[in-house]
Amino acid sequence: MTENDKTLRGAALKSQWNAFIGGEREDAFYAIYTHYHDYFIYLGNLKGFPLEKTKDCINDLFLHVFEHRDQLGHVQHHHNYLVTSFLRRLFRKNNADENIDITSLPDMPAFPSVEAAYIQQATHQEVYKVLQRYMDALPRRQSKIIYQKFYLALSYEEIALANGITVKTAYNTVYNAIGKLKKLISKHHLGLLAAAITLLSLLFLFFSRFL
Amino acid sequence: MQENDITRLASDERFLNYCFRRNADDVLYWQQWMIDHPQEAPHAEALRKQLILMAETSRARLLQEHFAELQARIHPPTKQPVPLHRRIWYAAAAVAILITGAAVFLLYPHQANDPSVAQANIQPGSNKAVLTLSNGRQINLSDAANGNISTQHGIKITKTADGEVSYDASASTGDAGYNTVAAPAGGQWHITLPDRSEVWLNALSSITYPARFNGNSREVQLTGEAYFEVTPDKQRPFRVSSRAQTVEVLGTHFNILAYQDEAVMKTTLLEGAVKVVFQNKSIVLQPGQQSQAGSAGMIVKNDVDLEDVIAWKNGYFKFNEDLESIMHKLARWYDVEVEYQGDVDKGRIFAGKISRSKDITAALRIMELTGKIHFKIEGRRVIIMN
Repeated sequence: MTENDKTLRGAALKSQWNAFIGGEREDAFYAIYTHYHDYFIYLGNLKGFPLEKTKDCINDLFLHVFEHRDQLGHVQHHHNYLVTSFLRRLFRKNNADENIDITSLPDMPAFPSVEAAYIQQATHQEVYKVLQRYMDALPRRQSKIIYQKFYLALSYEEIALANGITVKTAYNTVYNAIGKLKKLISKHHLGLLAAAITLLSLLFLFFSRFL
Repeated sequence: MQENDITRLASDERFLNYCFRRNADDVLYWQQWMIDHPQEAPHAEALRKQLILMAETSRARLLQEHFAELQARIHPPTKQPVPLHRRIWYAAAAVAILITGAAVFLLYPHQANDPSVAQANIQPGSNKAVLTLSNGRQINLSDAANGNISTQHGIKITKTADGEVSYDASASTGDAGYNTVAAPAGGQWHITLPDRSEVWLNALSSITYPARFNGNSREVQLTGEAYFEVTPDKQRPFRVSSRAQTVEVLGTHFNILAYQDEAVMKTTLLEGAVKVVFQNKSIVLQPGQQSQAGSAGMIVKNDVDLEDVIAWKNGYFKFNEDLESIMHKLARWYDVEVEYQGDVDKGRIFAGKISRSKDITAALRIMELTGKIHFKIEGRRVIIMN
């Protein structure tokens, strides 16, 4: 995928932006937040900022947008506005003299969230419930580590540094979570396996064009 | 390859690159591996699906947590005495204090063995709530006398009975700001809104609404749990927002459960029709259906036991769920803290029915009779053991 997917979809959120700024629709506000949250976390991580700081910059920005929505009617290109404002906040706090060239920013890698939706639909309802329950019950810290390992693709060293733990603890957290969840699912004699076999061919077909 | 070895794949960076499609080389390598290992391939593929779902769920949860933090800054919670252990989510600083506090408390239980400390009297909840007017003034509804409580902007607020408050906005015009009714742990309240819709608020819940419904919609905000009976009005849809969820109704009876410390928000429809909007997905519920919205998205459950869902509003507990969920409900109504000692199975299902006006030990004894758990009470702490 070579086109800047996020920019395209960001621009397509124009109606949501207008609905929020003009019409105060809070679900539109949430839609915009959802869209940019992932991208900004990714950018912050790429530029070497810790997750907490990146989150604070995101929330500072969106708090500002929410509180000053009556003054933002003049913004023509909300995408540029949001990205520039976010980066300015991110670097300002660090006192770094970074040149903010919005056109040189990388695209968000194509994480398989679309595929996740496919798997969600195809997976047996019970399996999905077990997963949901388990992942929601995981302590916040562990859920964050899983996110950093799988979604942000951090190494165990980077995760250890970022969370103030040892590499061994980081590794065990991920490994244990996988094992426990696997056991929970098979304990209920549920068929991730069955779903896997039937979907195998479908998935290969779907993703061969991504390579 | 054994089952164990398959899980080991999760620590193989190349396998992770394959799972998450990070580069072409590793994807091709593992695709070939799948073909060359037909016996292990299904297990590895199952693992890959599990990892993708875990990644996706943790992503969604992080988003939800961050958005909840933002919401708390946009709409700061009303000032009510909240026990330290329940102050989660509100701000980074508060979280740091909470964690430190909790750790210290667990490490040094300094009052556990002191015989002079009388065991706290754990009473069941009762009608308790605080009303905050649009000018910020707070009124303790339980202490207030029956009759007129306030007349602001021509809106008459009346305490009609113990546990009930009612709005009459017929004599007013224009914007009258927002009011909030908040029930503490161990509290509850019944509110009749300006449009004659009725709300039963459960413990540790709060609802914010306009003192007079203007314009072409009726918008309220809820944290916690409430049961609604909404006056039909086709011109003005009634919307209830909780975190990232909006429930839209025309006129109908439904229950919403959206506590801050519960990961999943549940909306159950008894009569009429509602549309639940969560993270850009929307579902129209039929009577008897329940939507469940959490970090993994939103699903619909059919044929929910409606008696279970609104038992609380009718004055009793009806349980048919896991231990942890039951203890959450008891903690909110009796305003206690729950601790688990030993290898307690928090997922074990208990079923039973008991009046909300009974002492907490009565509810705990029902579960103890099954022989599966034991409990003891220390001050305001309930300890569950095997």
